[in-house]
Amino acid sequence: MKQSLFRKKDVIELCILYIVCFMLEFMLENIKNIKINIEIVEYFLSGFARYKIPIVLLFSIVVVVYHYQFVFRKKKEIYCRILVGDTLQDIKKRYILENVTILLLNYLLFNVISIYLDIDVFKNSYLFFCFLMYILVSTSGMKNYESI
Amino acid sequence: MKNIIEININEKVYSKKKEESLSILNKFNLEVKEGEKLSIVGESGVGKTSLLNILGLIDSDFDGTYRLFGEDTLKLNEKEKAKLRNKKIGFALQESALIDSLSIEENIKLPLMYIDSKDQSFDQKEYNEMIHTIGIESILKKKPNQCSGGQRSRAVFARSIIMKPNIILSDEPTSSLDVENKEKIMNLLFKMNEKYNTTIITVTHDLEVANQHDRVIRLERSK
Amino acid sequence: MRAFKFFVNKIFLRKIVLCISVIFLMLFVNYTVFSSSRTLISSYQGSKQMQSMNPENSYVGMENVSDDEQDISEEKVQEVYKYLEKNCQYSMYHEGEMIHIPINNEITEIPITYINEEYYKLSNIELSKGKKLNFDFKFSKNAEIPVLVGNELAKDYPIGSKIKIKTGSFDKKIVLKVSGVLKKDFCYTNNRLFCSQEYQNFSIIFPVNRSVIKNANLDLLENGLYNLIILNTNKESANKVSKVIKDKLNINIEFMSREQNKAFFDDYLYSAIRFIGIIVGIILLITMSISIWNVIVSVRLMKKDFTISLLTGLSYSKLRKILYSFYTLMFSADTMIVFLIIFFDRKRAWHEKNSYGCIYGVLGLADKDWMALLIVIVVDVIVGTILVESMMYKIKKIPISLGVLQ
Repeated sequence: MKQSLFRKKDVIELCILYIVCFMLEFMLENIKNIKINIEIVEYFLSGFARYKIPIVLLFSIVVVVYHYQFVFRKKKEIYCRILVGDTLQDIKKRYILENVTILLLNYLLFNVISIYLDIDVFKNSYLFFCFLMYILVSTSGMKNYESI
Repeated sequence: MKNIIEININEKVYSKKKEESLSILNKFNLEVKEGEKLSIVGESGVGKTSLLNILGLIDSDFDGTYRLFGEDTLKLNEKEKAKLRNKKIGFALQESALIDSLSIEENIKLPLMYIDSKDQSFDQKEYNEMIHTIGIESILKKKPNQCSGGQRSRAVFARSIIMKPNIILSDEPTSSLDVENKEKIMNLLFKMNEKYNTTIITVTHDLEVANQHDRVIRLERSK
Repeated sequence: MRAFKFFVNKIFLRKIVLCISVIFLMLFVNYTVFSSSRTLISSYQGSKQMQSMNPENSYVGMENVSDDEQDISEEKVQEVYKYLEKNCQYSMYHEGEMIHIPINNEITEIPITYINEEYYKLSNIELSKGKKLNFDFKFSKNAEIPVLVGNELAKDYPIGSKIKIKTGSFDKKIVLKVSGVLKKDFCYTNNRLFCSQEYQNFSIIFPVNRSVIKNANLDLLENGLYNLIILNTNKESANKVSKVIKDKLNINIEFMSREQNKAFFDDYLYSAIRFIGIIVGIILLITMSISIWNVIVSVRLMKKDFTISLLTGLSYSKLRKILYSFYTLMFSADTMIVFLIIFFDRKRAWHEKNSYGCIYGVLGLADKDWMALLIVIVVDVIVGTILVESMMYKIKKIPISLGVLQ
């Protein structure tokens, strides 16, 4: 991790955002299974369940913000690392790898919970691929800081 | 003494946006000998920093040839260039070139992260001596934003020499320093040159600093 | 204004991801607040309407669903109605049946609601045109049944016009004659889901009297029994009705007094408010935390811009004003988006000819929609204040010095 752009605080921050997004997805997915026996509440919740995907994708913008600010904040570090012998390509590779590891851990965590609760697993895969896309897109932002 | 830098630039096109491209360093040739102290002066926007980027193997996007230590750098891949930067080139830049989230010591030791494990040449005794000479023992555990401008400049300088490079490229290393610190940094730079025969290339606006070098070259805007 | 324009164009919009994220997060907050407020407002309105149908000394029938097999036949149901006619003053209705009639030369499905005279009196139906509903008629082969029609339906079927229909409630085709037009946006509360209001702009209100009951099919008669209210009676008589229905049809219908009913509704509504409150509270807490994080990130990324502006003469109070104006702009965009979602949702009801959902309202929105939007604006003001003040707090913590710029 010594060559990593991630600090402990960055990892915690990203994990919290992934957990919030996966949790939201998990809740909206399973709202219909909750039996509250108050029709008004069920009716209210059904409105959220109906728009599950747009709501979750709308909310996932926070992860885009995270990557955006991360790459922006790290531009000096990227520049310093290149000066002392790193390459942009390696920095990008490590960035993708570490990001995907953090994402995968969170994704698996929620699917293990789903298995434990005997709920359909891998329903959140679309969100996983969406986050994967965010990671790849954010990597392209690194090229701007290649030179002094 | 042999030449360690031989560069011929026909043209370097600098562009932020496609429609705003600027041609600099037209028909520029330079040879630098081992152990030479060279300073580059010139008005803003003439291409001093771009030249430093090219010499430091950060930028290879130019029309021309560049031989470093006799090797054609245009044939090197990114990894080979990075290795050269790590072992043979030191960058002494302005005080802001430090990673804020790392301590001063971690910043100084950053180049050590990129050396091969079998190629460990780090000597703790020598390191301690260098830190003592530069006078930054008291701030090693501090973060850059807890230090003064002079302390940060000295930390950047310490990072640039930790690998005992063959070339030190410095970009306005004294621009934000007071007279006392300016002298200190320049003395350290020249001491490196005396002790290890390190080639020094300094980009500066300060003629007093420039005149302390063996050779001064003035870059002029292309006509 | 110049400083505001400069900040928007040169600073905020340059970090477009941050602006979009605020808009998205606040859209989520606005939708959540809107949706919960509207559900609670319509539930409250619904419970009030339901309670108004339950005057002093009246008993509302509620089915106790059991596994016992029901023994329903037309003959036995008629006997129950005979008992009711003889011994009680009762209100009944049957809603939800759909019929097909030509509207604008196009066959359209519309709802028909059957109500008896007592129900008509209880529900305070207001008319925009025509006469009150007449229950004094004989249901015969050539009879023209006087009906009320919804405001939109009246455009094709004005007062005096006739509608020929075939419904599942009667064996033969019947002719309806429009005698009155319901007031715009008149609605009934769905008694099974009283946060849902059924608008009657496309409906037909059909009067039910003794002769109608005699000629009706099981469909109308049986459903009518599930919506019984016994009026001006006591617990004993209500229990007797319950026993008759049980004995004849094996259906368990329990009659609840006004007090029991009120307690039930109050308890039901309280539980709903509590649940929805907790859910919305959690959502708001999480979204607010993320929004505050977003604010901190924004300050981190725009630190240099703020510092330069403050060094060149911008005061904190002016910066605060700029931030409030900018957030007002973004929150207004969000409120507008929520308005458009609701607007097109209401429009869709007209387009899809969803009869119960078609309303006129002000700008196409129902009163409860407007009330919920008002709550959204209040929440936006609170949330906006919290976000701007958090941002100002973070900005004030930046030491304004050249060091920041280096």
